Amino acid sequence: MSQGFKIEVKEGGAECALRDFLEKILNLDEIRAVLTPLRLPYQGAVMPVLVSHGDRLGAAEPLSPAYPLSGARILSRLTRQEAGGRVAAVLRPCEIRAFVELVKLKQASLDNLILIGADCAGAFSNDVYKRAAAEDADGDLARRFRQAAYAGEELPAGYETAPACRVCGHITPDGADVLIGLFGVDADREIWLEARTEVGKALLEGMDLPEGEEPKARSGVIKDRVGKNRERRDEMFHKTREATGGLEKLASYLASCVNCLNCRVACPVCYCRECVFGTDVFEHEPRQYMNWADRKGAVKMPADTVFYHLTRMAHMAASCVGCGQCSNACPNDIPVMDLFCTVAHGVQEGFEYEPGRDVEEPPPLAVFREDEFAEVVGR
Amino acid sequence: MDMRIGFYICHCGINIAGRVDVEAVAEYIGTLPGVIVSRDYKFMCSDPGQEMIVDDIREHGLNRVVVASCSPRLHGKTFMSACRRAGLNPYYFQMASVREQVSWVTEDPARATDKAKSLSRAAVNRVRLHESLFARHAKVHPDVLVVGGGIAGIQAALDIGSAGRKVYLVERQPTIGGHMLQFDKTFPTLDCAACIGTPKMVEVAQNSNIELISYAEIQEVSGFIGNYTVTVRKRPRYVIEGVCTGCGECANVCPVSMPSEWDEGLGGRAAVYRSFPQAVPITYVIDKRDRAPCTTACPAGINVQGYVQLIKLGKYDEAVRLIMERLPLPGVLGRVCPHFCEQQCRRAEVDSAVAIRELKRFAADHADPSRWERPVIEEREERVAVVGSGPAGLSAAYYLRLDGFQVTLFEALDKLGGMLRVGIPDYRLPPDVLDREIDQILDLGVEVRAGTVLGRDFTLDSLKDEGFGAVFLGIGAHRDLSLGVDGEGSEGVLRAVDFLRRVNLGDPAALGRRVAVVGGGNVAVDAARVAKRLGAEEVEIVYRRSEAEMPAYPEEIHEAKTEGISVSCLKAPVRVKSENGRAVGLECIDTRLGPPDMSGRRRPEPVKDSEHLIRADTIITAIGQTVDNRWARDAGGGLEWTGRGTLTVRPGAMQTSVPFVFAAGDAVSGPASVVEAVAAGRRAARGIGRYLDGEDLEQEAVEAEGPDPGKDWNPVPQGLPGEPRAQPSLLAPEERIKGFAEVEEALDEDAARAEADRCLNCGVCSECMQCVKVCEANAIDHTMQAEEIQVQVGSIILATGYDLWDPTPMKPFGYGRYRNVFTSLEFERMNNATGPTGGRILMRDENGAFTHPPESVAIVHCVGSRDDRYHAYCSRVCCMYALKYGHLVHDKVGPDTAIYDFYIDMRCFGKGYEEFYRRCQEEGVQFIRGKPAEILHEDGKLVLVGEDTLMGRRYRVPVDMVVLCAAMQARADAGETGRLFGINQGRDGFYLEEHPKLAPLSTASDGIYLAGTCQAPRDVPDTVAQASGAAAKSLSLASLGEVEIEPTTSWIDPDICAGCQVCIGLCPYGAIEFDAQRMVSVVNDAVCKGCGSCSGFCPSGAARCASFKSVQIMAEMDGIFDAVHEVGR
Amino acid sequence: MSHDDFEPTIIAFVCNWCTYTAADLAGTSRLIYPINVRLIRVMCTGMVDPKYVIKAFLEGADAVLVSGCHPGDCHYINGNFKARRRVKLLKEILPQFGFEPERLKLTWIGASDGLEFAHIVNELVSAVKDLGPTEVRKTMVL
Repeated sequence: MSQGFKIEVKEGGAECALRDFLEKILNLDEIRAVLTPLRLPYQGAVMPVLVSHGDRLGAAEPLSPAYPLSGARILSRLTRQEAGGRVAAVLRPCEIRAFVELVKLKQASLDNLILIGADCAGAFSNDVYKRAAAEDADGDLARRFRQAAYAGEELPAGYETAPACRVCGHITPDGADVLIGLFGVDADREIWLEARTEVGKALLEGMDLPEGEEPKARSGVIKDRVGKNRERRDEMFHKTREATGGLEKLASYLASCVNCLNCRVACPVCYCRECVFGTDVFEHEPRQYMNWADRKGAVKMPADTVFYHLTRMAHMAASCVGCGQCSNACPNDIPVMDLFCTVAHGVQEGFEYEPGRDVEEPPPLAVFREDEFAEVVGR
Repeated sequence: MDMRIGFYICHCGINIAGRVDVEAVAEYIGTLPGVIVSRDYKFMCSDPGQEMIVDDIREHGLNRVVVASCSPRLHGKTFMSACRRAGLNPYYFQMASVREQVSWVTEDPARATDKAKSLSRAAVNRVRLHESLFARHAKVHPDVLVVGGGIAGIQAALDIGSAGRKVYLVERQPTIGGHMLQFDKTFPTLDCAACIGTPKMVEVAQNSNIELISYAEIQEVSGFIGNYTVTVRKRPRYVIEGVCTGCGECANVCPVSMPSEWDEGLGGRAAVYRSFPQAVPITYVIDKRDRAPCTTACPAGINVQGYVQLIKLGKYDEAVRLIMERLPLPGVLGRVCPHFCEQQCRRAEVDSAVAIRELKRFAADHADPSRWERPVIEEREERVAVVGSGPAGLSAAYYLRLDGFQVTLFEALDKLGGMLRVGIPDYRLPPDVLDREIDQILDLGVEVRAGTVLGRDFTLDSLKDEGFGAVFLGIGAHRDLSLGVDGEGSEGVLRAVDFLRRVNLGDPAALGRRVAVVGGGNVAVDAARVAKRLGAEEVEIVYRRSEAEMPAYPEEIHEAKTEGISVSCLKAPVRVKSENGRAVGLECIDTRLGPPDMSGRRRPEPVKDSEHLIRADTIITAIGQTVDNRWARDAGGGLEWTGRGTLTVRPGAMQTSVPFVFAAGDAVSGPASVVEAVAAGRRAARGIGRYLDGEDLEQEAVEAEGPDPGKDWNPVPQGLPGEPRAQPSLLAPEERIKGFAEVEEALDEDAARAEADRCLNCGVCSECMQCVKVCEANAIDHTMQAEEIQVQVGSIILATGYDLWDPTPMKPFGYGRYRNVFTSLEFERMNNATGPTGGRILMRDENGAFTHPPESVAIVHCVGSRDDRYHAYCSRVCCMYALKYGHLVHDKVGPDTAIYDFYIDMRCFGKGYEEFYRRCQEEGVQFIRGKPAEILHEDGKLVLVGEDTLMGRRYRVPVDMVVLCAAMQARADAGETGRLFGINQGRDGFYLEEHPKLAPLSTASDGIYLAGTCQAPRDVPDTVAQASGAAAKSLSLASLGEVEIEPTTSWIDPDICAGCQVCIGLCPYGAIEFDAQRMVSVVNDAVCKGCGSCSGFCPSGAARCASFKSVQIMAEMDGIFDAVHEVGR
Repeated sequence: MSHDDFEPTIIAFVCNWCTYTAADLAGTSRLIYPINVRLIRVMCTGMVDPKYVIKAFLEGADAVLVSGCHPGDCHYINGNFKARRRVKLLKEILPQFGFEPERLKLTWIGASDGLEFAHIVNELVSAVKDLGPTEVRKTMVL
């Protein structure tokens, strides 16, 4: 099921057109609020904001290069229980995929929700964005980023998109109800929309938009970009395996980890209310530290660093969508995303599982079959 | 609260101390923080050992206890209760297994000591994190289930029943008793098994607390100790328990004979049987498998196996009555039926199919319905018109009449019978046979209007006006298809059906010298053979395909040839050559076979320039018939017709498009067999009946489909001697062609009954219903269905017994090849007064018939036991019953009978056993130590060859009879049964007890106990003792009234649970629910069994399994590694 | 250290009903096998949390054995199948960090398979001896 529409873009460009589009959606009777990245009046920060009055959408920046945190977790808070009204949410493809995982894990719900996703040209890591925002006198950063990034131009040195985005294989919002097509079009003239579900179809049809064909160039552009990203990704896998292939190496890779657990806080699929490493399970008796010290000659404090990371991998690897928020969140700039993605890739292949692909597809550890993985037994 | 740990290491005599330096371990553990006392002691499990713990707890205020000794599965409970006695929560205890896991499996003492230290330290480290837990209590259902009705099950049931508790005894066989009741005498006291066994069986039947569920199997088991729910599937007995008086009349009249399981196949039994006279319940049982293939193959669904069996018994009237339930023309079909049944007959797997059609004819010829009392008919006033008196019409009329309808039979010709009369020549179906059977039908009171033609003399509407409630059309297909070639109109060209009709009506057309018959069907062959009989000199059948494609029955074609008729195939007529209007020959063209056509037969293609002339002055065309529907337009009523010119009917009910009109036979199917017409006629009769009762006819259509008949048939017996199929003698060809005398003669009585005896009784019960007739108690119900019963019990005793090992694989002993090599169980049956020989020890001749007693007997021990190729274990009873056999032979055959007892070791350990051994030695049994290597068959003797290991020399001992003491082995289905109850098998296949010494009656599943040979081979005394033991266990559980259920269940910390609900999906017991209020998952600890499926997944560690919490298990690990670091691995 | 004087430490998580019973049987049958294995009794392999295995390795186990009932025999119906998926997961993760696949072993050992138990231990010990000690021992801090 899919049906095409389009938005004609007038002066003010794609940004304005999309704001109007979101406002139109908000004005529909069945929509109670819109969740969208929105530029705060302070320091140019762009955050997910829940908007229920159209006039507030003036600052909406659905295409901003800012990606301060995963909207999937925000949206799960909003949908886990009845919110009393329908929400339309603008998310990045990786956020949507993470959200689908959260739905499987009963942390979120697709009821009363419309997922709007745009073709994604990537985002800045937090530090890059802070810098760019500070330099952004005319407040036109989003447009400039968009025009360059979607055209596929090389971004100026120091302003590349985040590492996760550069290796991303899912740059289109496949799980969305409504797709905003930006690849292969001049978004300052028109934007292509596609209803990808019945819900999306109903919504767009209710907005008397002109019908529109998928831009000829789009699929080609996507193919190229994904192709490039895949190359960079494999290179990253290779480098990371080199850098962590062995316990000694892993230890040094994680040397500066302070067990702050930020990576797991930022991770959209780490859904535990409290990480087990934060519970009494890891409140060791003082004498146990002594024993470790005796046994090993020395014990790094805080202990359990590698233990924590390996265990977390076991917990999230199957559902990791590669959004890169972990690296964003690491206070000591450990390239954790590279590590987690590399491991996740292997695990997901091992279970023939792709997070976010289908809400009906259960997470690998939630199910089992009698006749499977015979090769694991006895070896 | 500060830790005050007490550590104790057990010497276990020298079992542990012999390898492990227990003092060193105690000393090492003593150095650990929080360890207040650390001791070693000879036997911690002894009273003083336990008291030591109790005192220390009191004296030193210990709040944790660790014991390093044997396996926690052995003494964990012992020490926990010691803690409890001292007022310490038993779950503040941990055990280290330094015997099973250290001293017994390690040679090097130093290393053993180190390992013991690490395991002990692990336990100490773990116990620090233990929590006090409190056992839950669950009510115990007072009832008990005993599975298996052998002597073990009987004893257990009696003990429980007489203790005033309700007990269900489930037995798979039709009777309880088991192997013991198959025996004759029992060693060493030689009292007869029946004498001591049957009173117990009777007691079971009479004890009001025992509910015996026989001929039943366990389907499903759920629940836990004290609260089991068991589903039992009761197989249909087809004889009603309580009503059956056990008089046995049914078995006397049952025609079927099967090898008797109870007699180990040495004797026979009927399809309705009772294992042995004293069986409990006394109720007989009918062994009924799926319908025999002959019956399901018959279009009319005649109970073929049934009437064949009745013929075997010489009950010809009964046989014919059975046939006539489905077919009113047995004599006719006995001659002209294409016998689809014989194609399916499984006797063909042995030699050749049973000659079923001949048997039907034989029965019909020998039955005398005139002697039968006229069937009682409940008259009804509705009138039904049956149009057409062919097989379909006759069958419809017959069954309609039996149902009480007023039937009028309309026939266009002057004589009745339709195609039977005017289509089939007399030499195949003599008119008197047809007349006789038609008269039988008419005698029921059928009005006949012959010579009245539908469309001419009456119409469907006129019938309605005349007051017929329904009309049956069985007008057949009498119209010849035309050849469609030039000159077909010439004089001397005849149409087969027309030709045959005239002959049969006694007004044959004139024939020339040379006759050519065109066509390959039965009609063509009939026409040719008739032409021959009418004096034609040369008769030739011309067919356009090859002989293999001819639709006529092969035997018909064969007979035609023997009568001198030539068959020219692959010739297609082009035109009839005629001179001045008279046919002089048939111009044909050769054909070759091309690809298959619609009919699946290969289409003939003409060969160029191969035209040639077949001289003939008479040409008979027989290329098929169609329904003569020329009357239809005048007959009125808007009937629907198919493209093939046949009537459209609703399947099953055979109702036409005109609701009150039904039809069957060739008019519906197109030209087909008589039996199909008869079957359809009967279906139509039933349809009409329902129609006139105003019932729904859709249902009829559904039933017409019917379920797929199963294939669970009596297996074809192995090594059955082949017997030739009975061949009816035929009239000599030269005699035949002189006239229309019947060609095939009936089988004589001996031949017929012998032929019937070739039937394999595929369905076992033949449903001949003789048993129903003779049962005065009306106890027999052939429609009985299996039923499922659910019982609630607190505990279960498994007494499923053993199988005897089949020695066939042991080729050198020749069991199965030599008639006089028997298994022990066969020999028991032979000795048993109710057995196949009435208790006499007899040899078998080549045909397996028992003849005379042996002069010498050899008894071979350890056949399949103590033999690594088969069973490594000793079967434990063989030595003793071998001695018993020696005694019995002397006793029954005579003191001078030579008896040789070939043993490896004599094992006579029981009470009075050694004495019995002595006694048999004195009776002169010759004992030879050394199992024979092989048994040879030399001039009528069985020669045992082997080495006497005492004398150290080879022996060759010729005897008349050999008895093999075959091994006892676990039931073939012990695995599946075990799974039902959640208990495992040991290596030997027998059920695994909880502990080989201290818990031989218990299993890994609490509340499920073992009794008898399902646990290990054992003799009757031990079995009975164990059964009483198991009963005592069940009783103590029941009288306790409630059980402690381990508090080691799971718990989900609501402050941590994120409510992902994955654990709910993983829980095998559905013990977890989601609390939508608090958005967390919650464990119902009444249902939880503490398997930890949830805790094994829960990433946040919210789900925890009591006494197996992450902290405890990780602490155990830390303890190991801390120690390993200090003392080495 | 050279392989001859290398004595591996092996942690075995074994289920109470099958493999632990088999180990007891190996003991009562006096089957001598290497001392290197240390059993940790769990009620069912279905309760073996992947982090136990990780912990065992990080504390210096040279190999980890997880062993439960044969398919169909699980005392808790299907715990062993869940364990199989978790071991599968670990086998996808750990080798990347130098824990050779051979160091993590999952087996089904029935309650009556005392011989099998001893056999598996022997096999595992010699396999690990060939691999040499785990890197953990050399790694100073974790």
